[in-house]
Amino acid sequence: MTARGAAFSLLEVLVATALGLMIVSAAYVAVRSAATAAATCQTLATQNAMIRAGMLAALDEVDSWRCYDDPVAGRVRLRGVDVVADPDRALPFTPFRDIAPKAGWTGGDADRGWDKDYAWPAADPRTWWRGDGLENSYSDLRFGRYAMFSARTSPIALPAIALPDTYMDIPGPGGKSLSAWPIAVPDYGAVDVPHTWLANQAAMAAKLGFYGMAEYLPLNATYAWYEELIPYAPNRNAWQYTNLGGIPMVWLAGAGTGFQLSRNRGMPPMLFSIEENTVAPTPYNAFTRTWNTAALARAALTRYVTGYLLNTQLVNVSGQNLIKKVIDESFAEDALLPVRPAHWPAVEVIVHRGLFRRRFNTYCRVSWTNAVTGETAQIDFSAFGTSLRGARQARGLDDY
Amino acid sequence: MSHHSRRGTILILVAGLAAVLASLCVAFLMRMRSDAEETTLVEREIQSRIMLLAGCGYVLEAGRLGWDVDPHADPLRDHVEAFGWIDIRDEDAVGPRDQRGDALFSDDLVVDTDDDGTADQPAWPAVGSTARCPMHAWSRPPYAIQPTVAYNPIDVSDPGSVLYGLPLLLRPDPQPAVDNGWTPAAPGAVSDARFDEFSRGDARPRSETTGLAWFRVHRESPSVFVITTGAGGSLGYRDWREVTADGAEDAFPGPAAFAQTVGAEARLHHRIEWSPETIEQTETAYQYHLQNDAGRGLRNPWVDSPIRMVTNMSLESPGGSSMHVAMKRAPNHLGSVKWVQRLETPPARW
Repeated sequence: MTARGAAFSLLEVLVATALGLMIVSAAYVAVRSAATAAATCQTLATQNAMIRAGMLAALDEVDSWRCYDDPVAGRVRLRGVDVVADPDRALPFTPFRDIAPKAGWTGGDADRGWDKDYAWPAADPRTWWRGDGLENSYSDLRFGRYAMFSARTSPIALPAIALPDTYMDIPGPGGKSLSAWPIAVPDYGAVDVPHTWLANQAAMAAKLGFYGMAEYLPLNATYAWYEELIPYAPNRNAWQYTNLGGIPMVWLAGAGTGFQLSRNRGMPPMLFSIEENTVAPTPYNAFTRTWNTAALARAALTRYVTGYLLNTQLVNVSGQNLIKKVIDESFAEDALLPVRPAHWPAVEVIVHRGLFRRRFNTYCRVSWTNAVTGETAQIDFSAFGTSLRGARQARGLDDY
Repeated sequence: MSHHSRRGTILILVAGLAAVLASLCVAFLMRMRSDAEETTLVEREIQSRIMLLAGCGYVLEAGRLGWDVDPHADPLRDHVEAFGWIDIRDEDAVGPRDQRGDALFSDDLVVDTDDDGTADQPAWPAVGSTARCPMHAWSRPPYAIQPTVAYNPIDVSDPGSVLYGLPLLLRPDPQPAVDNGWTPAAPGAVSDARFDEFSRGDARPRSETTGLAWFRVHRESPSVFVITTGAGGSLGYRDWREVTADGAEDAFPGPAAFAQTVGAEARLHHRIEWSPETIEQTETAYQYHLQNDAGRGLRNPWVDSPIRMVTNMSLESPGGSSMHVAMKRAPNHLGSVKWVQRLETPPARW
């Protein structure tokens, strides 16, 4: 009995085995659940960390502009000058010393170059735009020849103009005449122009492209100046000839290309003229990384159609291509950690700088894709930080 | 094997299992805590950038507004306003200056920033001075109105009522947050006895908004400012010496706690330049219906127009053309910020 009592009966073994199995099963389920929970927690934590890193990367780009100009990485292609173009064109990060030699800097109208410490006081007469704000592409100079007051050069030749009535209807000069009415203006001779500073400042800023110009000139600047008259001729682009008053046609409507795209706005433009379009600097991205200086210079003078004028086109391929164009050419896209463990989420950071509806905007997007579920989400926001001029100053590009 | 040893096995199993679960819980909690802390850093960075906007807004407004020391004192006297950080009436005059051209600041050195016993900095807003702006919300801002959406809801409760369905202005809209005694039953009881309280507001900080964010503005030159922004509880004090110089020791438990608070803050430095220019509103006229040439019967938008819209026009579509520019479309009436530049390291003075 004693030996028998010390052993297990079959029933005891069965019960003990069953209990043991239950305990082990419970332990297994508990550990497995805990491990799954821990793994899920770790995945979420990694995803959150990646999202945070994406947010900080976007905010860093807002101030650093490295997607556009990264001297540390040797990527400074936006500092070139397209000397083949006529007139030569610079880019948003071109140093002013390369395109506008310093001269004077005594505070007078003869000063040349960009003085970054000059405050443009509103009461300084040299900052005042002098011109005919109503002078149009096909001006008949009914209000006079304003180039005698302000122009890029002094003296300036204001020759006689005698044009017949060759109005050819809209659009375009058609190679006939720049005027809609018969014009007979006498020879003014070589006129000493009292104000040349502002015209040269505007022309210098315009070399940086439309976005750069809008950043450097005051918000109420008139984007036009007077030069000596250059008549229209076939194959001349909007920068290469003027209206009869001497304003480069790029600032007026009707030349086919240029700043003024709306046929209803043919007079000297201002910032508000960027109404239904976007102008933007060109980032270094997959689409633009092979562009040369000439292509970048063309993009700097591009107005992308992004306003309500696009609405009717969105339904067709043409409109969709317009949207694709602005995204391809002006959105900086960077994958965060392109090489990473397979179970980490894919995070992408997009930054777009643009000027639309007369507002400077830095648009950021941080998007992520869960590596396990494939779920995609994104955060979109506008950020406020370093402007183009601030980025240029930080790089010493406005120094002489 | 005895019964005791079997019970011991189960105990060991359960204890081990509990230990595994406990360690997982601890790891989970630690991960969550670290997640929350790291998220706080991002939040502070974002909050600090929001303060950059606030700082720019302050620079824009302070060049023109806020110099009427007591705007409620005498409604008939001249109210002081200024004309920009560089006076728009005189290119050589550092502002802000009042209507008579008198400076609203003094260049006298009154602040000792390096604690050497000698004042080396003027008071705000002179060039070289610094303004410190903790950004809590007032309990009630000046001229606050009640947060009521509809003072005169259309009565649809009783179809038999003469008021049914009518949009009537039976009650004043809006009404002040400070009770003026008006009630529908006794409209004659309205009183201006508390108007002063209404117009001055209640400057006591709302507790839930304190210690969150601040900015400082240092005026480097007549038009250039360094804006330092922060998210945290330092109230914008640069260091403990500045706290003691301001007599604000009571706001913090002590220098060590203050240093800890500063260490947890996100502090950003940006340099900006003010400009008096606003976006020009004078939309070039393109009312080409006015440009009909009698001899041609043509409408030509490309010749010189005799019309240009005035700056404060509010007419949206004169003559049926698509003219539609008005002041409301450019909300920068106090000037603008020419450029913004992030400073990687703190400047000497901020």
